[in-house]
This record gives sequence, C-alpha cells and structure tokens, in this order.
Amino acid sequence: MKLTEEMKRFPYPFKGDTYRYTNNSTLLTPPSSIDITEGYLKEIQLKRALLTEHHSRSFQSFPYTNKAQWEVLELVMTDLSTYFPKSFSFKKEGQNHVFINHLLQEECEFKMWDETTLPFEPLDFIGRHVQEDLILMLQRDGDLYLDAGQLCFPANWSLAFNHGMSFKNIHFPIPGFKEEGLDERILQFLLRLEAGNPWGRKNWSLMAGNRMDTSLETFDVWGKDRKKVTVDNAGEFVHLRVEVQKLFRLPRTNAILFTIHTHLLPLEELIEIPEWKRQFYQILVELPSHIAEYKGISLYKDKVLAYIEKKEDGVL
Amino acid sequence: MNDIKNGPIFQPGKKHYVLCGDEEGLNTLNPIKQILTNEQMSFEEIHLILECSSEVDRKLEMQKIGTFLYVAAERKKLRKVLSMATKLGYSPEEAQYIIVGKEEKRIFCCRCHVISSVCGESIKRGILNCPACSLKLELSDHYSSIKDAYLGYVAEVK
Repeated sequence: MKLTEEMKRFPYPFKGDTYRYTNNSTLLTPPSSIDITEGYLKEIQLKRALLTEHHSRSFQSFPYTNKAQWEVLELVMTDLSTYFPKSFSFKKEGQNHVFINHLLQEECEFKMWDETTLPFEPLDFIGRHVQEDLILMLQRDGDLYLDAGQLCFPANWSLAFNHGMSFKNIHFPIPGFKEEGLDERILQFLLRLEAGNPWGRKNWSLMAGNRMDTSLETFDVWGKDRKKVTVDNAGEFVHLRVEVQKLFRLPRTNAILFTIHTHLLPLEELIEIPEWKRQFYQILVELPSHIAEYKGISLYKDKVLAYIEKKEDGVL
Repeated sequence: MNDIKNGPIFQPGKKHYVLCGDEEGLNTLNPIKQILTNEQMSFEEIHLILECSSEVDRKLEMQKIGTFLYVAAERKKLRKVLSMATKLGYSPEEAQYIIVGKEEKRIFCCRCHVISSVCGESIKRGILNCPACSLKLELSDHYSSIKDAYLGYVAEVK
C-alpha cells in the first residue's frame, strides 16, 4: 500500500480502543507553535477571505491584550524563521524588524511594540501568515480569560460569544466536563504552565463534508450536511477532523497562547491503514452517547459504522 | 454558567451577612433574614432604593473577610451590584445574586450576534426568532457575563 504524503503527516489522534475526555497533553517536541502543511496557500487564502468578509466573527480583542499580542507575534515569527527558514525570514535591523513570507512573497517592515507600523493588530497580522487559529488567554485572579483570538476554523463554536469568558465558562456546554471535575483539573494544569515548556494535544471529531470554517455562525448552512450522510457516500463525504492544539506561556505578560491547527482526512483514506480502521471502528462503537451527541456524530454514526463493515466485507 | 439564581439559599458558618436589595428583593430575602435573626447572627441590610450607588459601593467595600453577600433585585439593578461586587473582589463563593420581578433573559443570536430580550412564555418555550436575522433560535443555558446574554443556538436545520 502506498501512503500519500497527506496520510503520512496526518496527526492521527487515537491511542487506545476507547475514547473519553481527558487532559491528554504531552510536552511538545519540537517546541514549535506552528506547522506548515501542503494546504498552506489554500488555507491562508480562505482565512484572509473570512477575515475580510466576517471580521467580527473571526477576530476579537480587548485593548489591554495589546502587549500580549506583540509577544505572540514575536514568538510566531521566531518559530516560523527557525523551523521553516526557507519559507520565512525574521530579521532585526536596529529599531526595525523585517518579516518576509517567501511562500506568499510578502515583506513587512515594522517597529516592535509600535502598532502604527502594522496594518492590523499584531495577533490579527501574524494570524494571516499561519494555518493555525490563535487564541490568547490572559491570567488574572487565579483564572484564565479568552481576551483575544483569531479564529477562522472553529469546530462549531463562536469566538464572538466566548470573548472575555473564563476557562470554565467557555467549557460549560461540554457534557460531563464539570461533573467529572475535568474543568478544574485542566484549569489548574493551565495555570501551572511554564514559559519555555510548551505542551500539545490532539482533539478530534467527525465532520459531514470538508469545510474548514465550521463556525457556529454558519451552522444553519453546514449542519444540514449531517443528514446527507449515507452508507454509500460516507467514505468520501465524512472526514475525521483533528485539531492539533498547543499551549505556550508567554514570559513577559504571563498570558497563554493556544494554537489550533485543523486537519481533515476523508474516511476512505483513513481506513486504508488497517490498524487505524480497526481502532477507529472500535472507538466509534464504544463511544458514549453524550460524547457522540456533543461532537455532532449521533445522526450518522451508524452509517459510518455500516460503511466500514461493508468495506471490511468487500461489499463496497 | 449562570451566576444569577432564582431564590436565596442559606449559607451557614459566615461571620457576617449583608442583605442587599430593592423592595421586592428584600422581601425575597426575608427567609434568610428570619434565620439570621433567630440564630442571632451578625447582619446588615442595604436598601438599593433608599441609598445611592456610591453609598452601596462604600458599604460593600468596607466589609471584612468572612462576610457573605446576598443581592436580590430586578435584573438591571442586580447586574449593577453584581458588577460592583465583582470589581471589589467578592468571589462567586462569597455571594448569591437573586433575580426578582418579571423574568427576562437576553439572547445572543449565534448567526448575526444581535442580542434581543425575551420574557415570559418565550423563555418557557425556549424557542424564538431572532428579530434581526429571523433565524429560529433555541435558548441555551450557556451564559456570557460580558454580554449579559445567553447563547441562542440554531433551533432546527432544514
């Protein structure tokens, strides 16, 4: 079997044969906030279009986040030039800084901490050069608040609604999250994050269709695709959606940068790898109904299982 | 998470209690006052109608550690005191906020972000049309204190 480049790089999220909500974070190696994949140009184009047409849906910030936003910009530019030196340059020339995106053939000269030298707020600016969504959480009174963010590819949530909310309030709708004490445990984990020791985790869901921008604002448009899943079309229509999430403590402002890189893989490609097919099937069969419901899978879970069974039997 | 309750619950073991409300709110707090009187516990009342906001602010500010705060009032007054108390450092564990009067909720449209007010039967039904974009919304219990509004989800996907 010949694996495609996309499959080789796909961040397959499962470890065991069952799935529950956990804090499955691990120390990040390499400690890069950003990854560049082959979908770069297409996704950047989509991000920029969303930011132009629906700015308040895709970007929110409070004025007091400005310092932390500059820290994010510096961190991301440094990581881009360190881990992808052929694609990005970041130079300091006296007071001036020069950032070059060779993939887009764009060059920007600016003065660090001087917002008049950038065309957008710092978080909004650097977010237009990376595939990741960038969420900024500020810490005060022993709690974390979503005070700024650039979010173009949300998994069915609204940045505009969640803006300014505390960590626990944001996660309030997740069934069992509070009852099992997971919200408090993860909050304590986040509050203990140290600068220089970033962590990463993977989150997953299934998606009827291959839209990246599954915002809550457009749910009435894409949500109906869940009803269109059949045993026959599940292979190409249903996608495993994986978010690679990374957490960075910013040393100067003590804020936390949360980066989310979204990946989609059609089921027909996922089941090409026998171990993935077996494990994914087991996880879906065993998945508790409240998790399936929250992840939006309930409507078509049985069709996906039937599709895998038929593939296994050679019927499809 | 909603930090506003429909009725007060007695919180025992505190050094001092503050009962703060408008006329109807203080009536709502009467059962608490009764317990405090019977148990001969330390408490004071703040009348929101009789006292100006700077005086209320001052009285809340001078409280000592171990004080438990009850605030009961109609929605707008309640939000004002809640915001003041939060700024002064009262944590959710040190206070209860009780809404009185006509039940009214603000709902944030998930599609167009317009916030509208709903009351009475609409709250009970939990379904309403957004007055701005006409989307049929389902009132959730996901609450933003920044917006003082509940999230309205898409009620049905056609």
